Amino acid sequence: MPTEPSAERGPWSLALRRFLRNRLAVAFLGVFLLIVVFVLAAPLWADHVAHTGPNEEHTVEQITVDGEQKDVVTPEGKPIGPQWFGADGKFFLGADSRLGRDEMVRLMYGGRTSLLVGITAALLATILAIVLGLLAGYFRGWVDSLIARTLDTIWSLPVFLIGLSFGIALAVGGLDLGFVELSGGSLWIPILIISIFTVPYIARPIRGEVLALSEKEFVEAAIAQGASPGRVMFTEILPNLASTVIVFFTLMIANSMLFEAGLSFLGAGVQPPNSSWGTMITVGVELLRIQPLLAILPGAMIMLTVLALNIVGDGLRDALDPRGKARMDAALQFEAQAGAGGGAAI
Amino acid sequence: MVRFVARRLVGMITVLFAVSLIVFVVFMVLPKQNPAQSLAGKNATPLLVKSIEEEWGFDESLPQQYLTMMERVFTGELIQYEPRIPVSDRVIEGIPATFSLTIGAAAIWLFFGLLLGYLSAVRAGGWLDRILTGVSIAGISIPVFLLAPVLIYVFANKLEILPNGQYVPFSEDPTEWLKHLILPWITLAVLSIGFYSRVLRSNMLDVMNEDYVRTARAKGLSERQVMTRHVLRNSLIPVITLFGLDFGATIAGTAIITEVIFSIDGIGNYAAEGVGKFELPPIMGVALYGAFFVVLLNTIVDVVYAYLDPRVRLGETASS
Amino acid sequence: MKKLGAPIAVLVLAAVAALGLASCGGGSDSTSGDSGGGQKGGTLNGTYGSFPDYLDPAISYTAEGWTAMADVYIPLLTYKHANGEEGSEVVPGLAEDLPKITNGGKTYTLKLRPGLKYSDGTPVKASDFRFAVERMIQLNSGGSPFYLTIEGAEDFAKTKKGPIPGIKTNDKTGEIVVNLEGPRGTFTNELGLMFVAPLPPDTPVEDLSANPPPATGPYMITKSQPGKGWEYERNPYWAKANGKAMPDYPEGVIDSAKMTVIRNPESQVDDIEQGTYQWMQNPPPSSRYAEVKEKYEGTQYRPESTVSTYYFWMNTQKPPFDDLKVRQAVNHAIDAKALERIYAGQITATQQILPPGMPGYEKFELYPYDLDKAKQMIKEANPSDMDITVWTDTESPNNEGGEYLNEVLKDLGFNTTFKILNADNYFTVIGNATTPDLDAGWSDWFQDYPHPNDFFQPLLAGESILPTNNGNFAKLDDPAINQKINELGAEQLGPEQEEAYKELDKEIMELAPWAPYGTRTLSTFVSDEIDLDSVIFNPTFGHYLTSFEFK
Repeated sequence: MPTEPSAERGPWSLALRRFLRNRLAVAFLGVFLLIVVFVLAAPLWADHVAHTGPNEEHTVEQITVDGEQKDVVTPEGKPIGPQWFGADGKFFLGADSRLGRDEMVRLMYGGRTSLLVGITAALLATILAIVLGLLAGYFRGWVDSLIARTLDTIWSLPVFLIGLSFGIALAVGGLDLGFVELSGGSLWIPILIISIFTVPYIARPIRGEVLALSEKEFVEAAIAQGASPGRVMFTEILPNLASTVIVFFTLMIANSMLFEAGLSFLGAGVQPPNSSWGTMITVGVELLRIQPLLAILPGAMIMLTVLALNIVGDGLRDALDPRGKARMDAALQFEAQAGAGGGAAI
Repeated sequence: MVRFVARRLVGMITVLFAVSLIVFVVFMVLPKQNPAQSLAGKNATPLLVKSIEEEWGFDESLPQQYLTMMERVFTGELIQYEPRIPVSDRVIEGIPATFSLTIGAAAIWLFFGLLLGYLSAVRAGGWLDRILTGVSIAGISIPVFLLAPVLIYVFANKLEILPNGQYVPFSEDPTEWLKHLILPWITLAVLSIGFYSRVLRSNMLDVMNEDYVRTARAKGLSERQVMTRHVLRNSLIPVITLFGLDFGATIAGTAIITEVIFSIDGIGNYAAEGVGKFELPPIMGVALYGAFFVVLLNTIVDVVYAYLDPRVRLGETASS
Repeated sequence: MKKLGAPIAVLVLAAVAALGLASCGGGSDSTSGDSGGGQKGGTLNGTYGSFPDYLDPAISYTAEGWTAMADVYIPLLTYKHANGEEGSEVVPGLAEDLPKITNGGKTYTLKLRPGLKYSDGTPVKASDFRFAVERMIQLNSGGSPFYLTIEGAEDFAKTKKGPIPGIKTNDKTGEIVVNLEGPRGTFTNELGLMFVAPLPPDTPVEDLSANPPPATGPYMITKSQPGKGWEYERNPYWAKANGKAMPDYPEGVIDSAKMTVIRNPESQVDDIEQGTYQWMQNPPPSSRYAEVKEKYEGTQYRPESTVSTYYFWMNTQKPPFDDLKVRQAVNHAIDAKALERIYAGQITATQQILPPGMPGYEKFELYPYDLDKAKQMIKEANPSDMDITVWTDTESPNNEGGEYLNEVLKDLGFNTTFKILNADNYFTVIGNATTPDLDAGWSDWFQDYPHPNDFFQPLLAGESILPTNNGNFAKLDDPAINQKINELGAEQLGPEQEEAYKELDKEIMELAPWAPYGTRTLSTFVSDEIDLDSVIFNPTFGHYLTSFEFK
């Protein structure tokens, strides 16, 4: 096939085609989309199949399964197990706790919160980290010192303690900064806490890369041509960060989802009546010996989402960064030389 | 080099100061409450609350309280509320447990993380790579507070081959010390192994096609020499950065959840206690101890980084 | 009796007596096999879920602290070492007898038993009582409000300069005379609390949790590592002196004990099951409760009732709960059965202020569960403000109890904002008048001592509404009720007063400031080495160390 310089072909369409050739990544993109559809379908399931909301309690009720009446919650406090379609879809995955709520409905609604918080927090953190990393790595000197010290301070703060106290304090009174007002149960509170605390994690490596990149010739050339610092940073350096940013971004979504779970475990993350996979795991762990599914189901959902995100992230990295793909090909060639089998890149 | 270290020292003090200030503000100002009220208990009279305020100095202005607290930190007289013992005692008592936990886990995660990452990169695209990647991703996606109870249930309750928690000092019984730490080590390490292996793998693949690597190959160096002398050394830089951050954070006590679930009497456990009782002195004590270690390790990381990548070191001195 | 029979009877009696003497062997014998004659000695290894607030009798105000120090520091009066309601009886401790109450209920006279010693050999003197009271107030103890009616105590609390004029002691005769500003029906009970247990006069006036003061009881605390654990040994002066002076007080069977703090209740249960530890002070968590009950009831496990009330309060001073009908409707909407399941069987339903086990308790049900009736009542009442905030704390299952209330109120048509606060913070926040939107929420109350005033006065009296550390969350301020509380509180508790308290309970429930829903069941859970039947659980002081025996 005749090769044309990518600049004339449109890098994005080339990238798309490269991505589509990566069958594993495409498959897991499908998985991720399925998960998104799953959580978006929550109201449909709740209204038409389970006939109950995520917070409705059915502690003393009974359901009819194959003609038999069963307690949703036994008098000793054990919630009923998965019924699948035995009760026409009610309590498909069983009851969630002694409050007798529908686990399937909660799993779907909880997923919405988890994804929302995870993605938003990671996005915010990444954007902040890029800006800070660029500024620090490019300008160096006192700018770098200031930013690095600030990142150090954030990183040195006892993350859970601060996050916890913020969460606790704000759960009571909310946050009123004049120009923005957040109620105590707002999801923005865990989102902000998570993003602020994960910025250093991404910013430091980005800063490192910017430091290295700004030594390179094309940057020097751009400066020599009279490009302003802003232009150099955003037009020359930033695109070269793409693969690092993408890899970190996908990992950060996973990290944020787990961070949120940890905060919720300590009572400072998502507040009732909202629930997330993190809060569901917390409740489930308490009931681990009675009904292990209650912890395993949300845990598995998080794991699956994270797996999918990582594979897609890798695929994106390979697709967007041709040198990366070329590196991958080189590695594969070397592999072939060394006698190992080739195969689709992951 | 001396200037470098000196600057870092100043930086450390700045950070410690900032941390103490932020912790103080968050705890005293945000919740908008008076610790005297919690200390006074359920039958309190206004007189009792006032007496407690006077005793502890809660009736002073906030800046004054901050200064008094910092003074007490330096003289080692920072006292927690219930019971009224020095915070420094508890922190020092917690060090052996947290250090044992962190250093052991860090050794495991670094070793296996790098090993898995190296194997993945070297066999990139192959079945080993895919399996290891899968394992890595699985590792990073399990929440600690799900993994720990499951491990305890399987190994301590069902199989009864390992204890279900607590910390036995090495001086008391080395075998028990080890047995009691195995599950906590695994819990902490599993998460990081995955992360580190993927980072190393990603970096190695990036580096493997750099020009100087091709040059090295062209020079006739064996693959192993290329890998270790050039690829690995350059791929390790970001990994070292991350390790420094992680290790510092963990020693600082972010293994809170692990320590709580395994009932390990370390600093993380003490922190959790302080947070649970919402007492500022323990939290301040833990925060400063933690910040110190984080900054210390960051500094070490920067020094190592500068040593490994001369461009950075020279670049810095050039622009300062 | 026939002449021949008498000598034989004497012989038989003598033989029986001889056998009896032989089988009740001395000190360190192994099991005798008789009931009540379990293994003497041994070291009890127990776990607590958290370290007590203090290991200092003057300031500790938690169940953990009181359980830890109950058989270590004996006040002038104490409570009978018995299970259940019997354990509510006040009996003489270091004092010879119950106090003589004269002067219209304002003067209490007691006499210290002669020959008593502390665990360091110092003799116990009458003036040590005044010292203990003063030390307690100087330490700003949470218990000090109980003793402010002593003449001059309030001034002392302000100036911290003694001595307190209202306490007069005579070290030669051992006489102690306490004068109160006004009659106080609960003072006898309060003399039985550890806050005012006598201590040597050279005891430092500071928190001694890391190094507890000398003991007067059968056991003493020999080593304390705050946050981690503590140890007990036999008090050498118990056998030599105090035990002889207080023959009715149990001397204890075990030789020593070691308590460890394990902050993971699941682990604690596992440890008991595997025999790693022999006793856990806190009850098994809700998730293991049913399993433990099923496997071990009767052999290693026993439920223990407490004198406690779990309830939902409603702010009677703000709409919508300022309307009686609304409050009564909420009472009708609470289903005790649901809450029993939410608590996994660890509460028993109740609808009274006073719990069973408290003198003055009578069961009645003013508001049977009827959700439709409740909805109807709300519609009729048509409250102006349908936006409310519901409060609860994080501790399970109270947080679930709070969520239950939240859903019930939503069912009744309210728009609720639900707030969960950290358990240690919770009461301070809802007790603070500046916290906005204190509409309804969860609370509980465990007795300080078995006197009904302990429930009514702090929780439902108008004068108890404070700007901070408020305990009257319903903000009930009914003049007739207030008067009755004060009157009854000044009288000594007798059958007449108990009847009056039953009436008071009903009257208050007619006003429905609360929706009480249950009494908590705690547990005795021991490993298979311990004799379950010998363990005594006192509703105020928990498990007595002196009652533990190895099988």
